Amino acid sequence: MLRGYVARRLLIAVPMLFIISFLTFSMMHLAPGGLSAAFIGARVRLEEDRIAIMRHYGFDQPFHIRYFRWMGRVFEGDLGHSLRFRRPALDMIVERIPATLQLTIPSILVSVAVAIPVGVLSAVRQYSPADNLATIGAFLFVSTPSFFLGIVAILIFSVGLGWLPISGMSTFGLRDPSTLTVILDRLRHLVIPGGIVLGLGYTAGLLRYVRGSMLEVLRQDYIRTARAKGLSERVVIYKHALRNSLLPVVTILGMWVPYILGGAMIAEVISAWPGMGRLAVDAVFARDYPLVMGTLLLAASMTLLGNLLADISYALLDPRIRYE
Amino acid sequence: MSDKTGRLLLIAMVVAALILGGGCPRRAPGEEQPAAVTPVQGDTLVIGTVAPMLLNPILATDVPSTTITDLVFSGLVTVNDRLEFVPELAESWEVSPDGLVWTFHLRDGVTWHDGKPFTAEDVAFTLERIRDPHTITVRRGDYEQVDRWEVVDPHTFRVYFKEPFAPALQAFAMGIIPKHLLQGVDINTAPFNTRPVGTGRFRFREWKPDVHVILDRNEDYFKQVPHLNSIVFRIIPDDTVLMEELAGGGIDFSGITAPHYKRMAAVPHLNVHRFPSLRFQYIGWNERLPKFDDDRVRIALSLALDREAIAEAAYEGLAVPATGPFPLVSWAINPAIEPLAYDPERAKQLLADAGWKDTNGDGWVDRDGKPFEFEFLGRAGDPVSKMIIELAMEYYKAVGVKLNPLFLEWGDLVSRLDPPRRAFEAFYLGFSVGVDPDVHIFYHSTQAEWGFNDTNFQDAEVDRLIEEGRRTMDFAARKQVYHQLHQRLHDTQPVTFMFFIEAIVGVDKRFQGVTPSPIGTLWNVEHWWVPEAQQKHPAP
Repeated sequence: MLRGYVARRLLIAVPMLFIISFLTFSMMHLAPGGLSAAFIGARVRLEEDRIAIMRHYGFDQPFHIRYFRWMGRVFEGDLGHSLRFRRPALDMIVERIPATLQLTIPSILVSVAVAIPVGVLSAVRQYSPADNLATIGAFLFVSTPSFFLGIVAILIFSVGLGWLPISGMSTFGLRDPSTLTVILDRLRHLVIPGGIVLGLGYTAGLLRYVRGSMLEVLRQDYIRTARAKGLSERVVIYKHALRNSLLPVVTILGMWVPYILGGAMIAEVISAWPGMGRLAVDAVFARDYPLVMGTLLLAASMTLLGNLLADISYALLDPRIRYE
Repeated sequence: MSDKTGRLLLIAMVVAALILGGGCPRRAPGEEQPAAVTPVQGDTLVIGTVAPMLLNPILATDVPSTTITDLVFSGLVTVNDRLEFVPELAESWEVSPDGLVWTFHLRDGVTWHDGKPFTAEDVAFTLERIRDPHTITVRRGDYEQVDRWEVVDPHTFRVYFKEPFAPALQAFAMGIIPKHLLQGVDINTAPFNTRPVGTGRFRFREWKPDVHVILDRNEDYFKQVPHLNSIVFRIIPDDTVLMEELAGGGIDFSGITAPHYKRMAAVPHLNVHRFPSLRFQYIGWNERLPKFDDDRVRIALSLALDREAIAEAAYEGLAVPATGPFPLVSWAINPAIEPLAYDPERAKQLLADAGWKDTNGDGWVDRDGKPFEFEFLGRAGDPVSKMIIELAMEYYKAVGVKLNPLFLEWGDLVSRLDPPRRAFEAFYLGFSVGVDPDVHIFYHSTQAEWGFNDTNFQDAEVDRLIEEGRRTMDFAARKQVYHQLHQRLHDTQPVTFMFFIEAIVGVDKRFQGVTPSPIGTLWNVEHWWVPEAQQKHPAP
């Protein structure tokens, strides 16, 4: 039954996480640079300092010892300390969760809300001017690098027209800090990173999937049967076709689950949004391995969870699929 | 300043000329403000920066962190805009006749930001923590010459040196940390590092990671209490966005990179200042390799580059060719030395003298059947250093030397320069030189194995002059030593001295009293103020 299936999948996730963490730890170990990156802007001069630092961070130990020590601490809920910030990696990850969710959840919700109706419309009215417009738009935004979109949006809407803030999550020194103005201010700050940098790309991609899947379904025999029964076009499309056409879309949404907590590096950097993507990518460049391992463990867990959620939704949506 | 040596040192640091780059109006420090205008309190300065790492002066190495700790913490001495050491926590100091014992008289009535009194015990504690091998710091080397210290009484601190050490004061500009908050705590991971308590001009209020750091005026500061209410460091990682925020007024102050200079200079509400900084750029040649272990070859490689043209192309003219490792404002500069002029013909001649000639006519000079080629390391992701290396490739091609560029990330690059690897042939790099001209760690032969003499430069005369410069306490005599040292470095070219970079900053015009100096723009931020009518941020 479904419950047994979920339990088995969760059990498999544990060795998967082991393998992922081992591979990442090895890659970090092989990457050149090592410890010197922890002292951005300075170099260690005295030999005794170098030895002391290596020992402090455990770099005097062989690779496998370091890995198992790290693993052991993870089971105690300790992800270690960031080499650069010298703060617990777990604290640094946790404190970025609220900002990350405020960026990713709205952009995913808006993308889904826009992409599904537009995609359906595109498919139903295939090759109509509306479909062509949606198709051109989708290709344009899928193929434009998001950092470019972001900078152009800032130049147009913030610098040129002055409608939106240039960067940040809120206005510094807001005159009237009532709940409503704070929320409106946050939404204004969200438009470029959430709506344009993330949202347009998400929407464009999802729209193509919805359109393609809908076209596929509309060609099926049971749709012809439904039409032959004399059902209205509205019932055919929304009752029979839509539900089936959304199955592949669920897979895509499952793949998006890691983004929810993983953040979005480009949107966060451009808009100075204090999210998880920036934390993770900066950590990689600085070889800040406790932080890299921490963010990675989170991303890997979210990916496994996303896959599981997608599979479970299949079962709920598609009566043909049953898990033993 | 009460004593003779201190005064000598003070005069010692007098700087030749500050107004080199800008043409922007500038007031001498201490000069009176125009009579009718009295500074008023209020307003907030919003600074754009990349993220700081940790706010502890003995641990931090990155620029954003040290900028903040310079405001929150005080040293025994500080540096003014003429690169002179002036009293800070120490009211005065004196040196014993043999130059070995330095006695600091500490200011009375100074309190930490939490209200506890500051005493000589805190100074001793700071030095102990730096010396403690458990402390992860790169600063231990600054105190190598210190033998021991002693708390004479709560307001008198004495340091004993192993030998007379003229550059001593430089190490005492380091921020002092509070014993009562850090005793018995693991300083490497102390929460203190994210909510610091100092004795400085500004007190710490709040750090929201990746968002901002906020400091408030220290009402109890023992020198000029700042006029501004607060300073906000807004963390903005993208350079283009940072510039748009500056132009749009979202931030009041930020450094400006060369590509944005002209556009920012045209923004009406900004004062854009340019001024010579302490940032020194050079090309290092690995002299462990026979081809670079020859003064003639290194001089030829210096002569083959047109540094004026490179400065124009890569730094938009905002770099000055260097004649040595001393900034143009330093008293150590020997005024008789001219920068090596671009002279490819002489470069070829010197290479030929060293045995490098194009014997097989393939366009590259060779010796013993091998062409002169080398791998040149640069920092990846830095467009300026990329452009310089590409230009150098062309200049070297013109004298028959083949340069193979390789761009590496910072960590990777440094790990190849660091001992014991020293795995490089040549590299382009920069660092900020100290206020004192002591260059022992860079060019003394003892620093070649483990120190920053990465290139293994060995010259008995340079060694002797560096040692004499450290020992000579009399300023006039010391100055002569550095003039000789400068000449010797120029003649031997331990590295190819490339540039001193000009710093560019933009500051909103409402701020009065802004007079940037080589040590930074915020050095006198306690004197900055905004006329009441123009104040933007009311007190919280």
